[in-house]
Amino acid sequence: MKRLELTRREVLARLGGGVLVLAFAPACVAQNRNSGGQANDRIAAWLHIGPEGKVTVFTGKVEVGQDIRTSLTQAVAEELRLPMDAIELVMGDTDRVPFDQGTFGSRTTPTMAPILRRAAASARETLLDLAAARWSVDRSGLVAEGGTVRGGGHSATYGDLAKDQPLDKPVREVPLTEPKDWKVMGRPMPKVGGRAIVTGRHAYTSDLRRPAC
Amino acid sequence: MDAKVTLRVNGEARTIEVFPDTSLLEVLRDDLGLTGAKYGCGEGMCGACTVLVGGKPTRSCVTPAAEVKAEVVTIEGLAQGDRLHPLQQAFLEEGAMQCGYCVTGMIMNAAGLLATNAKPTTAQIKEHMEGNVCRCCTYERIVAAIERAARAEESR
Repeated sequence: MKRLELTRREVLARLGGGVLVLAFAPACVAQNRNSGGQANDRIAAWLHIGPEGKVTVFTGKVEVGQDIRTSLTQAVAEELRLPMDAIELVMGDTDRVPFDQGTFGSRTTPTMAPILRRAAASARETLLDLAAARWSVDRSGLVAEGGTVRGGGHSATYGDLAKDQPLDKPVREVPLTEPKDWKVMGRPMPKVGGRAIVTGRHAYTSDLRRPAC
Repeated sequence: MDAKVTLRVNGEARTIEVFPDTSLLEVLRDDLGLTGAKYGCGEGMCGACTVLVGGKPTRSCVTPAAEVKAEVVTIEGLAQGDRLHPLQQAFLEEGAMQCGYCVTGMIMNAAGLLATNAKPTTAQIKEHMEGNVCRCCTYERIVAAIERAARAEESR
């Protein structure tokens, strides 16, 4: 009887090699706790601004060492004019993130980064709208920066502005920040979550303990 | 279970029951909840499970817990409160990780090197770290991080 023998190299070659991480979810499930079944063209499907100003971002992409947790955080930080540590990504939790076909083919930067940038820029513009309406001032005199909207002698934090007005608005065709104006994107940044890795606190799949296991 | 052993881990005495062939790695991860040391190959060939036993880098996956007599230091015991060990700081500053699975073993093995040779040459670092495998191939930065940590130690 002929035995099927494969070397590790052959197995990798037959699989096509490379990083392939799949996260499947039914196409109808594009909900998270905050977007409540929103379609993916709503800001709330992609990000949520908490009352204390903490921004939670939802994406079906998965971090496996390619550092997209860092690069996607940069994308959101740039458009929302926030420091990196004000942003937390929920990645690949299919109960909470919009539908995604998977993390493969180096597609995160060309596809997911623009989606999140547009959602974040839409959120920024919505915050400016909310501030202008609250203070009855011309929106062109307002600036969103570092978690606060200021202008015309007024100021309010993002969290305060978003508090009673969930970002239940469509993602808009707003202009994205030009590369020449980038302050966070396009430059090396410390790895988000790096400290947990070097201290042994980062939980890999094999480090997780299910209840009663 | 047929033997009770008391290990000194990160400065604390811990008593557990073990089989004669229970590995130190199993005790650390499953009994003591110290999951910083990783299970990689399970054969002592990849270095992901490296901890210090009596100051010496040791492959915990092939070390029977019942035979451990000296103090065990794991990655969880390396920082002093919030202050990271120079190696941990250097790995962060050099960005010497991608997935990071090998990093805790790398740092513990390097800690063993710097404890006996505070100013290793690049060649000595590479020789000492030879048995630690990084599937992401971050080797250049790992060597740079160890050199950076050695310089930081020197200037303290």
